[in-house]
Amino acid sequence: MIGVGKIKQYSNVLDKPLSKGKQEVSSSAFAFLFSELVQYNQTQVDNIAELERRLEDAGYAVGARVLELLCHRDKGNRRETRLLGILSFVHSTVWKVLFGKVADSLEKGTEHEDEYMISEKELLVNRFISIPKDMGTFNCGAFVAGIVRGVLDGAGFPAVVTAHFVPMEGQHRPRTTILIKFGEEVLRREARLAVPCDIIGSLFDFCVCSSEHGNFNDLVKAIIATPVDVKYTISLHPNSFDLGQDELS
Amino acid sequence: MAAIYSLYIINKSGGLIFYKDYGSSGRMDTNDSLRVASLWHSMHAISQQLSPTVGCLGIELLEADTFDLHCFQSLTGTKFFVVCEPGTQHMEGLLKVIYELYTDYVLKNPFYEMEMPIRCELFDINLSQATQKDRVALLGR
Repeated sequence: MIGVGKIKQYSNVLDKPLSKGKQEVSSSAFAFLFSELVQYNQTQVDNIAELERRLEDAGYAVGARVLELLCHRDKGNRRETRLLGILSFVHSTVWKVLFGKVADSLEKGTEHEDEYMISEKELLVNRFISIPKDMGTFNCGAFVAGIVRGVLDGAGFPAVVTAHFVPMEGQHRPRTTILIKFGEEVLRREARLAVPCDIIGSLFDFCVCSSEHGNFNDLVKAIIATPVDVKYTISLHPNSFDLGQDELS
Repeated sequence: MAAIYSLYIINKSGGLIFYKDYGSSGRMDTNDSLRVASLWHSMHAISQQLSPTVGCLGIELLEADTFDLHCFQSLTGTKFFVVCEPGTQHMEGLLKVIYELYTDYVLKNPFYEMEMPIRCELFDINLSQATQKDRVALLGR
C-alpha cells in the first residue's frame, strides 16, 4: 500500500515522469522467470537449434524496447549512427541497465573484419544454469544474443548475433562470448561514412590545380562523377576560380 | 576437525536424488545407498507418528557409536542428511547451506526435472566448495 499515494498523484500514466525507476530486481525472481521461459520454449521445439532461435527471438523483443527507452532516457532522443559508437553503447549503457555492470570486454574479431565480440565471465542468465552433457554447445546466452541483435537491428545495424561458451585457461567455468557479425551493408555504409575527408582532400587538390587552369566545368564534372550517395560540402573561395558568367549558368 | 562420511538428498517420496561419498574407507555401493535413503525416509515418517509430543517434525539427529546422522527436511518434503563422524560440529548449518545451493543451482536450472536425480555441474562445484573442512569450520561463527 506504500505506492497508493504515488498512483493517485499520477492518475494519467502519461503525466508520470520517465524516471530511471528502481534499479534493482530480485535475482531469484529473474532466475525463476528465465528458467520458466526456457522450460516453456523447450516444450515447443523438437531440436536445440530451434530452442536457441526461440530464445533469441524473445531477447530480440527486449532489445528493441531497451534501445527505444535508453535513447530517450540517456541520449536525449539521439542514437548512435557509427559502428564503434553503437558497440560501446551496447557494451556499456545497455549492459549496465540490464545487468548492473559494464560487460567484461569488447573485442574485434581477429580473423574477420565484420566480427566483434562481447565477453562476459559469468552472464547473469547463466548464473544458475548447468547445461546437460547431451545438449552439447547450447548456451542460454542466446537470449542475451537476441537482446544485442534487437538493439543493433533497431539502430540500423543488422547483424547475426550468437552466444558461445569459450573455455578459459585456469578457470573452472567457460566464459560466454556474444559474437556479432555485421551485415555487408553496415560495413559498406561505415566505409562510406569514413570517406568524406578523403573526397574533400582530393577535391581540394583538384581545386588547387583547376584554379591554376581556371576551369570550373572540370570541377563540376568531377563532382558529378563522384557517387551520388556520398555527402560532401565544399566551400569555394571566390578567387580560386576564374569564373565566366556563361560557365556559371 | 571431524569428517563427513556421506551426503544424501531424498525427494518427498523417498527416492534418492543425490548421493555423494566423502569417506575413503567403507564405501557403499549404489544399491546400499538407495536402501539407506528409502529406509531413512520411512523411519523419519514413522518417528513423526510415534512421537509423544505434538507437532513433531521427525528425527533431526541420530547418534550411533560409529557415526552421527544429521537430517534437515525442507518445507516441500525434500530431505537432506549427512552421515559424519560422532561429535562433528556445525552440521545443521552445513545442511542449510546445502539446501540453499539446492534451491539456487538445482531448482533455478531449467534443465532439471523435479523429483529426478540431480545432475547439475554448478551444484557439484559449489557443493564441493561448501563441504571443504575450513569452510565448514567457519559456519560455527
